[in-house]
Amino acid sequence: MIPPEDILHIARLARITLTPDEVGRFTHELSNILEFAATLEEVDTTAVEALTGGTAIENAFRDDQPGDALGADAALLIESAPAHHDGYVAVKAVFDRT
Amino acid sequence: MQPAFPKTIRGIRSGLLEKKFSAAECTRAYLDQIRKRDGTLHAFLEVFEDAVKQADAIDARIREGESDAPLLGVPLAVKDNILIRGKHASAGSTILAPYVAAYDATVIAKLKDAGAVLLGRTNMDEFAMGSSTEHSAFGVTKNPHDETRVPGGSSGGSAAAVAVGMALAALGSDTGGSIRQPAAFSGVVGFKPTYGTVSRSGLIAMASSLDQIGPLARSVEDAEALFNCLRGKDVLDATTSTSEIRNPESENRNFTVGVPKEYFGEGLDADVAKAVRAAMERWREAGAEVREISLPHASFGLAVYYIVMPAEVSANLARFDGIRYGRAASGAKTLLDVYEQSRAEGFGDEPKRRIMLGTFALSHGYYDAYYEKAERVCRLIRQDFEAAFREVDVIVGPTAPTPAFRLGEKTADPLQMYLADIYTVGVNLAGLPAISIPAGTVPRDGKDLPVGFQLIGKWFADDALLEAAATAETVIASIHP
Repeated sequence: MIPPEDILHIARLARITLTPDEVGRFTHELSNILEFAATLEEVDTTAVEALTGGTAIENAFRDDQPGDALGADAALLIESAPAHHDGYVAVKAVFDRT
Repeated sequence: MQPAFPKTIRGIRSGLLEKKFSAAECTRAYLDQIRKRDGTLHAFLEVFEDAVKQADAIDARIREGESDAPLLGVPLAVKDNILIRGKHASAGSTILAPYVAAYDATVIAKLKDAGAVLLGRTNMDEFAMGSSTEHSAFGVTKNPHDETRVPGGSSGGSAAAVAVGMALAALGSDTGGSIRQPAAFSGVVGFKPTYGTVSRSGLIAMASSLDQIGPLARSVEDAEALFNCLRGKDVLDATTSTSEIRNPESENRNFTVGVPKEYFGEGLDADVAKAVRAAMERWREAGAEVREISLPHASFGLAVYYIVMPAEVSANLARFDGIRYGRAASGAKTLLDVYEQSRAEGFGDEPKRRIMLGTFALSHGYYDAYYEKAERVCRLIRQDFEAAFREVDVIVGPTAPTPAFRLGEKTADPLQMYLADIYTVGVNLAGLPAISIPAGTVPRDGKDLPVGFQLIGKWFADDALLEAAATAETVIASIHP
């Protein structure tokens, strides 16, 4: 069982505010899923190397040349941002001065 | 009534080229079918206003003498996590509801070149997380064979649309079974190609070492026609490969078919098992050599998946922060508030669950116990397949353990929902190609529900797998005419 304070810590790391109801629910659900995942302990993996990636391709290089990947569409990317100003993405202040 | 136009890609192409009908007429017929059926099914999140205009442009291309485009006038639906320039792409999530794509996914650019008409974007579980399409932020999609049941997921909208002829074929994405399982539940063909054969540039990423785009269609032939347009190396997706194994021999080939005993164990519905066994038996009579094989670590696939996938999800979904895309929480004062509140308001339960699970599995003190352990077992799962494919050409079994379940039946218990993917996740963990084809129906409450027959092929032997699937399709058609 994951303690509720750990759930709050994980939520903080994941940048998600949780309601008290969610803390209760996720504590229960995540514990169940992790208990299920713990069945992996039955497998002896001492001599096994981890499989990472999904592909055997080791390096995928391209020429180190700046390109015009989006061309005129680059402006659309900025416009995708909920707040933007003069071609820049607008963000809130990092600190609250009050 | 079904549109009175050919129901195959080949048929539509030749009808257009012989001037029996226009692409605009054909497209209007599909739009009519959407109007008739989608009010109750809700397969589409949006039907594109410019669909007929796209078809007019195809008609103009034909008048100008174009004849070799492989998908000329073919009306397709696209899962809502694949970007089409100038169209909304929400991935079934509130957080991306206002997002409009700034560019075409590579697969979309290829479909446009090939002459396809894009009818609309289809419903899906939020960020492709789910097996029922019930996790969409925009309402459920219903199974066309029984509207009290789910169409499967996460590509449930695409599957339902193809099943009732609201699109001739569709694109889906498959991370743990999200093309094959809805194809099985909805009675269509769903193909997940080898990892690295189709570019994911412009696919909203879920778990990058597992995600693959593929077609849902009415037949193996149509799935193959689509796949042949989609495949190929792309500089915008560094995992795409030039590897490709063409079929050595092609006519009247007798396949060696492996049947993993682990795919017929506890949890498999008896009627589904019967339908799948009947298909295998008929295939054996038709000349296949059927052998029982073992994939000893198959039962651990789901546990590996529910560590590896959330870990990648937690990283991939970090980009949805209320700053760059979609919607931001109102009333946030600081930058941190924007992140935390936008994500709290914008994500549904399932993405939150998986992001947190992944954050936990990757966190200090737990990484070795969960993530490292899962990646090691993942190697063993891959090695099981390597050993099996030294003996057999193709591995077969059920796509899903049950026919379509009822709406609401599994939403309260995430683990129960996850079990719907028990036979499909291993394929993604190993990076293999696999396809689900319809294998008859089973009766449930007075309705006939489709069963899916899964065929798994060797790495990059997608063509050989499709050939085997076409053979199996013919064989099955002789049982269920």
